[in-house]
Amino acid sequence: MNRMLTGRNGKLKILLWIKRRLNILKLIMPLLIISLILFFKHNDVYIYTLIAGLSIMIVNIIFPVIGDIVDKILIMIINVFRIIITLFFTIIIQGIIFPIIKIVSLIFGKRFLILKFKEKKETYYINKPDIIDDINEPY
Amino acid sequence: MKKNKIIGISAFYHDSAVCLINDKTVIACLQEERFSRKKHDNSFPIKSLNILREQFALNDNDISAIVFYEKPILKMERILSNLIEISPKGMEFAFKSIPLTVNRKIFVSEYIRKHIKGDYSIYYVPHHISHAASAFLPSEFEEAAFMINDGVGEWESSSYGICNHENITLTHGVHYPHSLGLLYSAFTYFCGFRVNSGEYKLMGLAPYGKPKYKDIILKNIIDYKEDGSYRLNLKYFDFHYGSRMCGKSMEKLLKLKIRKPENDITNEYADLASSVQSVIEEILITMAIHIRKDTGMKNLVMGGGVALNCTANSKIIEQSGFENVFIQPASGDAGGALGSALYVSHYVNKKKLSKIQQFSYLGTEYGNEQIKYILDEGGFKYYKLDNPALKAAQLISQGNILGWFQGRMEYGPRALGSRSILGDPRDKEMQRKMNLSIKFRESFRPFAPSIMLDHVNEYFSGDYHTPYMLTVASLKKKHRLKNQHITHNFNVLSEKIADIPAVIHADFSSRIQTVSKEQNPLYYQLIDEFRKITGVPLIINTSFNVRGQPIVENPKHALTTFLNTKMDYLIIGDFLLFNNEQNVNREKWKIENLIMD
Repeated sequence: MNRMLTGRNGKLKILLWIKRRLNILKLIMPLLIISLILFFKHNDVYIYTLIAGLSIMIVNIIFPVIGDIVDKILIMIINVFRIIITLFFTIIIQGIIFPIIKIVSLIFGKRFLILKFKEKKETYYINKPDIIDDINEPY
Repeated sequence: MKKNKIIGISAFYHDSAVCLINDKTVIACLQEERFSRKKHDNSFPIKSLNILREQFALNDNDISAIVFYEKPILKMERILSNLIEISPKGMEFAFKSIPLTVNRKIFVSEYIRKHIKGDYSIYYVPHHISHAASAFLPSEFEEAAFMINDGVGEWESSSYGICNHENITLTHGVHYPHSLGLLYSAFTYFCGFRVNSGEYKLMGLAPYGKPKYKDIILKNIIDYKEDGSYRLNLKYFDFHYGSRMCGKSMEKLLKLKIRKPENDITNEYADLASSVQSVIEEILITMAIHIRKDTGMKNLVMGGGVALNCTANSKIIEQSGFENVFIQPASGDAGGALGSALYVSHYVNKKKLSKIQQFSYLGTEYGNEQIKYILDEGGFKYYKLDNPALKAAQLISQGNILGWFQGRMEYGPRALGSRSILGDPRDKEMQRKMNLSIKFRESFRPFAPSIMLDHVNEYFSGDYHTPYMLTVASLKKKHRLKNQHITHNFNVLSEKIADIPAVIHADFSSRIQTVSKEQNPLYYQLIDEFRKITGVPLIINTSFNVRGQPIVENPKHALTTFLNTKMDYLIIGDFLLFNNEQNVNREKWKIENLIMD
């Protein structure tokens, strides 16, 4: 039992296992945190869906492949495959996920940016609430 | 020791910069490009931070706050929203922007903590509020309306609101992708100039043309309301999903091809420049008039990259009805570092700083001992001067081109007499010679003059006090040798249309810098000595750099630029150098080598 739990340097294998998972979590946590922040702050289902989708993809693709690899090898693999991974993500995100979000948003009648040219309205200004944004936060 | 230092940082878009302030004043503002030698460098300003530590005695443990000039997650939200909107198009755009967005927007605090040690708070001031603070707090107004126009911040590309000493309140904005800055950049691209750096070339080209395309632009490309708010017709733009600013649809509408940089500039492009300049001016004036009426303010402060359009600035000052106008000289993103730091100092820490702008001489300085050491080490032949200003005036009046390196470096895009190349404005060949042999840039562009403040009315109409070269003035008729605005003639300046032809544009305008004793005593003395010799109280002042290079920052940069151009003389500190006397290994002093330092 002891041999099963203890590694060569005497540390408990379970701790090493947790440490490695924490390294992976470091990658995922910012995305998860941001998704939560955006969800509660902006209540914007599209952004939330996007970030959640990104997080799930990273978990599904990266986790099984590199879950047992030590830090340096992990960084090396990420560096070597960065372009491929980015390209893959780009195709998935820009070609599949974003169009789905866009379609959903159009169904609910919301457009993000591309607005009609020459609208018959008095102003194109967007009024801002009379408050100072919280400068302690990056959003 | 008391922790009383605040650092403002702008980074990751263009023109990265840092600003260091304490409880009393601004200690230094530094632009990363000046040290990295990459023009408009947008990387995290590590080199500037190191200079703060080395030259301005910054100890990381004295820092109480670091302020970033925008809200990175809000900016990321805008970028992602844009990607959703353009999907499934924009694959190339997404490929470039997603990794950058994730790396640079999410991990801003990690970048900061990695490069600056110590126990401090991190703040994020909204982009346009940073611009507003950078314009309002140095203005010394008690209250003012602000008008900010740039490419884009987090979401806002244009905004206005009210500043006072209690608060800065942004009340109205126009959101990306609708943007006057991006409209101007799109036409900069169309005319064959580089986006984010060639906008001033478009402005310089405009007086040569007639606004023949103005109606087409207003009918098809931009729609604006009576309050100055506007919307772009995105059908004619590519910037929101591609690497180009505009494409074939714009060519089809204008019946004109996008100019390749190597091709000649024809009259059509001058007409196009004139047209878009006219459109921008019209909208900005409308916006400013509305802001005055809506806010009821007498004072206006301006910032954002569009506020570097000096022709538009002059018209806003003349026509908007505001009693006083202040424009931040570093109104591009570099100024965000100053604005964000000032915001936290003034509104969070409640410290009222004095002498904030300091005529924009907020950069590094090198003493005679340091300069002498570099000259000796490099094997340069030089002469010690007792009166550098007098010698400089004599050399300029004899038709020589002079490099002038003195005092603290300027913060912002303009050389204001610290890192300048100077010449005689009376010489009709000077403009061509300086453009082609020194600056290696287009020959149609005139230079700006530095004129003694107490003599400005002798040459230019209006009551001008423009120490930052942010407005244009019209040459008085008695100094004109021709009567009419001359268009479609790119050689107009060699025709001698005025008695100071090298600094006068085809429409008799000039982007003047007024110089007072209080502002820069040595530079004022130089111009005064030139006046005593020639009777003319102004000289040509252009930035000390060559095309594609940032302004020189240290003596080594100055010497390298001096050796690689046909500049006749260099006065650096109290030392005079003749270009034709230098027997140094010029291979070692190549401009390309500076980037490797």
